[in-house]
Amino acid sequence: MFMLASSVSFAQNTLTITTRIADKLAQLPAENGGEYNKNAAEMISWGKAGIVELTTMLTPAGTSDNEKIEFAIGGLTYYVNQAGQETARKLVSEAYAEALGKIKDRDNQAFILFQLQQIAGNEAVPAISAFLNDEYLSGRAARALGRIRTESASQALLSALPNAKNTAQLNIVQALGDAAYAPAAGAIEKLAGSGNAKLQKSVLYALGEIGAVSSQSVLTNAAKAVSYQFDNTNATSSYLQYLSRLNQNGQGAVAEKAALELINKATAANQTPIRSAGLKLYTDIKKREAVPVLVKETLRGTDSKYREAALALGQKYMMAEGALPWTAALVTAKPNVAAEIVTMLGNAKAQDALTPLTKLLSSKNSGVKLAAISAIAKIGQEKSLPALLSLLSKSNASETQAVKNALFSLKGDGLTSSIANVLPKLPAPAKSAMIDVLAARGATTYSNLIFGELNSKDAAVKNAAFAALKNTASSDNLPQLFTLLNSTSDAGQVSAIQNAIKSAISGAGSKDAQTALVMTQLASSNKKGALLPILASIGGSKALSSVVDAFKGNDTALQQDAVSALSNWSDGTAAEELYKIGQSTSNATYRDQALTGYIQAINSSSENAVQKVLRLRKAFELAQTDVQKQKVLRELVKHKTFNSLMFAGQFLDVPALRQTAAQTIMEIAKTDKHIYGPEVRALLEKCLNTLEGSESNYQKEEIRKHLSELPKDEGFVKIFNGKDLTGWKGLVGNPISRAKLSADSLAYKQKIADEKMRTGWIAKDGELVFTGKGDNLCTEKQYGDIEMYVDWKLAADGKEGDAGVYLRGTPQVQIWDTSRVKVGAQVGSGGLYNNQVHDSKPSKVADNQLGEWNTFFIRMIGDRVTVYLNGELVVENVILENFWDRKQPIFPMEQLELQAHGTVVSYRDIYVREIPRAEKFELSAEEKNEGYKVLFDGTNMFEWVGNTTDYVMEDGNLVCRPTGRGHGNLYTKEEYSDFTFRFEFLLTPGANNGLGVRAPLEGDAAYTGAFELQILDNTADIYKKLEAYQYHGSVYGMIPAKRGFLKPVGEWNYQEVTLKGTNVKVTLNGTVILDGDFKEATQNGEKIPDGKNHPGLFRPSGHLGFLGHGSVVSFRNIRIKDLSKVETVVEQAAQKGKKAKKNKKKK
Amino acid sequence: MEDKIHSTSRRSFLKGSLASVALFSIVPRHVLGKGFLAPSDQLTKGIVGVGGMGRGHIPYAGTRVVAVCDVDKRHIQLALNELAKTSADKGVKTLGDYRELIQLPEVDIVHIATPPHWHGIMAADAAKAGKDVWCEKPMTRTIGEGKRVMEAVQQNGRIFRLNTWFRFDSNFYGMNTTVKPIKKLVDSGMLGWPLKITVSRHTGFDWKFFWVGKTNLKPEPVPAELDYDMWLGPAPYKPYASHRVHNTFRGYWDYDGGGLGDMGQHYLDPVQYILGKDHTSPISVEVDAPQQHTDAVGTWRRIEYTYADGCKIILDGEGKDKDAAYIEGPLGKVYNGFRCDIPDFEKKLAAFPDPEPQNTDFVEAVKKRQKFALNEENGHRSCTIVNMGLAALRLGRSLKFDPDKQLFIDDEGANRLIDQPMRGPWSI
Repeated sequence: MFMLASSVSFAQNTLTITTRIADKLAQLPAENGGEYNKNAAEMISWGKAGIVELTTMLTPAGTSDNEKIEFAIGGLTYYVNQAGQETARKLVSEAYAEALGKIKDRDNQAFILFQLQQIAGNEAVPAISAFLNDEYLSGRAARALGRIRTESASQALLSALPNAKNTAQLNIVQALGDAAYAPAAGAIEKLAGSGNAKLQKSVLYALGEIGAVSSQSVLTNAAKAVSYQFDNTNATSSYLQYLSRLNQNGQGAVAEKAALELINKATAANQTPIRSAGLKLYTDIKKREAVPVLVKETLRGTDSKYREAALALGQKYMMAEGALPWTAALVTAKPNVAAEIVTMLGNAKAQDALTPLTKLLSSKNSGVKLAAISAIAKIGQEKSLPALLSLLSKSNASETQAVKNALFSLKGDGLTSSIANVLPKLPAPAKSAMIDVLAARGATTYSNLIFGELNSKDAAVKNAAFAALKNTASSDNLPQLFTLLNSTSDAGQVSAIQNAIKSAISGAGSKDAQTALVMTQLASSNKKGALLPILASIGGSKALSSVVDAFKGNDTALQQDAVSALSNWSDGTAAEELYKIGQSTSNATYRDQALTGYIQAINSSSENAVQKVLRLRKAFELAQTDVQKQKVLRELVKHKTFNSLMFAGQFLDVPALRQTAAQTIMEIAKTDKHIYGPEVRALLEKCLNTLEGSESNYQKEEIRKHLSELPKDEGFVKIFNGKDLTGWKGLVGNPISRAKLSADSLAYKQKIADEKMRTGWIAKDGELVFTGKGDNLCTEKQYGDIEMYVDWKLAADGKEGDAGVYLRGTPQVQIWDTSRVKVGAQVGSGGLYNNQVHDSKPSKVADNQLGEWNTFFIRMIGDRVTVYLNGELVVENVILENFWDRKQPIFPMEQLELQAHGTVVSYRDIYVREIPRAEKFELSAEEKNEGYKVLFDGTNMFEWVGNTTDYVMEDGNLVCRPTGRGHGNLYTKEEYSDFTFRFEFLLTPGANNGLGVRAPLEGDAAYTGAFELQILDNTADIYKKLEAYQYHGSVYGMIPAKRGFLKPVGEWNYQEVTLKGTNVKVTLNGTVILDGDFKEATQNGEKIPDGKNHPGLFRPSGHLGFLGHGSVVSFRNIRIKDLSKVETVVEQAAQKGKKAKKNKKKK
Repeated sequence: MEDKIHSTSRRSFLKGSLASVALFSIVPRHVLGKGFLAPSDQLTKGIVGVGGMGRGHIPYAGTRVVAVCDVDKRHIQLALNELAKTSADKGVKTLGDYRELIQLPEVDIVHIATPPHWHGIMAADAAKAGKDVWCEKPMTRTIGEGKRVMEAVQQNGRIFRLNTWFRFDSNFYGMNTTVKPIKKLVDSGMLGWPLKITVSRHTGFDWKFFWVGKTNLKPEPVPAELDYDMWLGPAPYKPYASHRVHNTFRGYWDYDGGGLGDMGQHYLDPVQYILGKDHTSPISVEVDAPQQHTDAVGTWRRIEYTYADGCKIILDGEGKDKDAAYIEGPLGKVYNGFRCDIPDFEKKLAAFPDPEPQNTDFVEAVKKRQKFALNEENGHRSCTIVNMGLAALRLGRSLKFDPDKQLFIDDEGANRLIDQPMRGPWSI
């Protein structure tokens, strides 16, 4: 047996490699690092043969799809080139090397050579070398070998060199340079001066990288030949690289000599770069010992760029004695050079230079003095403050400026007090400069000094003082500032005072207090206009009316100030006033300001995206120019909703708005794959032909990708075309009465209803309007599970506004005027008005005021309804009751209706998405005959009571999704004593639930009912230590069930439970796991194994219930046979099927 | 002092914005080039790569275009059309090989606006040819190339600027302020230390995940106007496909690195400045991403960098943390719009010193021969963060880094991405 098994498994292994590759490819690319590592490890486990097979699956570009194979190979390559993967690296490298010989396509060979460039070692050298003389692939091969950097790889390159020609020769030379392979120097030197500029470049590059002593003359001559200038062979650069490599290779003396030669001889004006490079090389070799040379070169350098190079090196290599060599040199340096040295010492923050440099503050040379000011500030910070301030009594303009600049970034706490001390005595230019510094540092402590200078006779000082008010005034200065504002007429000064008040008032208590303060001033001020911007900066609704009044008055100047203030209102409270101004004004400037302010107000409000889109659509009505319209469309992008996309879509055909609309549509669509449907698709396809600009190629690519990834079902479909009533019909009766009509009489009544409908409903300008007379408007189509968008609006002047959306032909999602307190409308719209058992009220009021549009998003799955009103969740997963017959669940399919309730109402943008349904569960013929009754078929929860919020319907399943930590219990509506209960369930890891029987609707059903049959993931670690009677299927706490018959977590289990008197039988997936009598097991209830009190044990009947324990469990296909009634049913069924049906219905 | 006197006499020729630059010393033209003297003292530039990005370099103030270079003739024509709109820019030379452009004596500054796989070579070559360089981000495609550019620029005493500006100018993404007050706040110590900086769409940054490549590209004929071999340059030869080049090159590892590669330096350079890390790099990078294709760049979820002192940079690609602060320290947080959870922080902040001033006028930096605020050194360091992230992403693993040696620690595979051999005869 063993032998046989082993040979079979061998055969399977060879067979499965191909399958395993295919399986793995299907999983690529890996979604994350963990998957990536797992995939790579698995691919390595295929061994060399497997990887060779994978690699040889590559096909020539354009013939079929290489993507997955490239993901596999690329992933493998990068996985094995990390530390700790040496064995795998070698294996993969060998596999690639072998595959190279088998692949014929050049570009696929190139692809593998690139992989080898990342991972190859000696093992791949022979295979790679085979391509060195191939014109097309020599570069790939050479670079792969050059990257290995071992003796044998480089040797392979070198031995291929003598026979290599053209491109191959150049590639090999270049790779030998990449590898810095010293033994190749001689062979490469021989190729120098070939006359071929490309080859010459590679030769010089390689020799520069190698850095062999023997190459010196070749490189020196090449650089000299071009006078150390740039040329296409990069000779100069290669020479410098060569010298630096010489130094690294232990030939410092040779390099130093060459460097000194450059320093001393390359003195022509155009040789400054090479000479500087020589200096750098010399310094790199000598490090700090180079400083004397640097000082000397700085002093004698006539070229500022050369000095710059020397000083930069000097800053890097300050000697052990610090700045001394440099400060010493200051004595003999020419003034311009001295200034450069000072600047360098400042940049180096050379502490020991502080004293000598401070002395230079008295230099007669302006350049030196300016450099010293900046340098000592950088070095000494606060320590240099006295010296700097003392300059100010006699400084010229540029010195004052230099001190001022230095003080802005000077560190230390004493700055403002030191300036304040000297300020009064300073000459005017210095005084204004120091006021600027005090302002920059927010020196409120010295505001009295600033106020004192407002009357300065010197214009510059005065201006500086006004400008400084903003940063130095505090709330204590407000009275002074208000007085000042009243007495000032200069526009610049007024603006400075306003800014100061705006800043200072934030310290004057609450917003209301601040407003009150300004309002008091407003009452007595003769400059009301100047106070309005201050109110705008405070914001809030308190001051709004006075600013609006100012707008309405006759004073044109004040009017301008008012509009400007409103459009700059710092929060959203001015929005409605701005809108009114925009609507009513004939002044184009006001209108533009109002629109800008309105958009700004929307922006700063805390409303949700749906609400902001409604407001922006209003804003669009204000827009008159293309610029204004574009502005609104651009703003829409921020609020990515279905309606914002559809709105932007209206402008794809308007030339001036086309690009903006296309950008908006694209940006919105791509963020949400739930925005889809034929109209969305058409708009995106239109964008493909519309988008322009440098990004458009990517954007189009992205749109195509997005389109291909959208869900495959139809999505949101427009059901009102905006022009007429196509797709709609009048109302005949109700779903139940209609069902009773013959086809003829239904058609007849429909015709009359349609005529009536046309008198009450009008399609106009994209809106669907109910005039107040007639019946409901109904869709011709019937809908089951749906999501829908609909905008609605009650008339502004309409009293008693009332309407609604009927789902499945049944009232209704309520719409009404919230001021109708008498009928309870203050709860808001959106509720399921006709519900009696389940919630009929929305959870909050989210209505907009009468005359404004509102947006509904409604979802109905099974019998559950969710409603969002204006972006707020107002109804969450509530059962819609059947108004027409409360004994039935809601119809599975019916028409949508817009309710006619006698008042004017408008609708627009109605889109419906039909949600594909799981197939409804139906009893088998056998079960029907036996008298089973369906308790849950996936479409409704009509048979259930209790916690209907934690138990929800998803894809035809009944899922326990506990929202809190609560014990979610869901009970059958009816009570049972003896029964057979069949159901399927699916566990999640660690799941815990239970089936309570003969339970009342209150209390802990495991105890108040007869008992609980455990539903549990037995395999979870946390349940390792349970008692035997606590595992799945057990009569909890009493009779243990057999273990080992649950399907793995994540698969459906089928269970049957029969309770007859005190006998319990549980069959799980076809195996009886429990068959016992609880009366016996508990010794007539006297001795219960778990020792707990089970008061409900002998209840004769009760509800069945799922007893949730805070974890997710799904159930489906639930049916029951009532054994106490079953005989009658079976008898009757045997007699006449019709009667049996009737009997069942009565339940 | 001679220089200064010289400059004063020449200053009278200056026009426009340059006239306001006080007290600079102009290096005589014969030092810069080959004895060429321009008709005015306005600096001149040559632009390499005049696709959409490069044409954007034409109007940068203070300099005049004298030459443009591109491997696609259509780009050249588009650039000429653009130049024709400004009467000052007549007689511009057009070239197909950047090496001719960098050797033109009349060019002072070379602008590099090619795809990133060319940046390193061109910047180094331009420096060696005695030109100052204005280079598009990202500075280089590998850490190794960045080191070489730094050497070349410094060895030749050139002025280099990288084309991003958020460390000194412009509103800083979602912060609604320039970087200066942010830096000041961090330097003040009010937030404490170490800091964590989160770069995500919730803090104002877009990772441009649509900049991805395609797999299974079908070979297409090379358009007549394109010198494809020169377009590829140092990159490995791969059959031409239109999605590889021009607007969509950013999705391929051979040329760039998607949103992180192409926007990363915009976003991360200011972070280095804010944290005061301009002379160092993080010591580790961790990555959470789907596996990457070897040719086409894909997306990622999260990349996290850690510095030796515990400071962190989080790149949040998923936008997972909606309430993330841009900067988070033990004592305070800074959110979008420069909001801070420290009460009255703006007033408290005023008392602290400003950050040291930066040299942010490139024309002035060139004339005064001073290092520009964002130069070859700190530019290389911030690009290193980008390239560290790209290496970790590509390899699908976390990496440790030695900021002094600028090598990954104990990871030969990762180091093979630091120095990637080039297609001959190209080298730096």
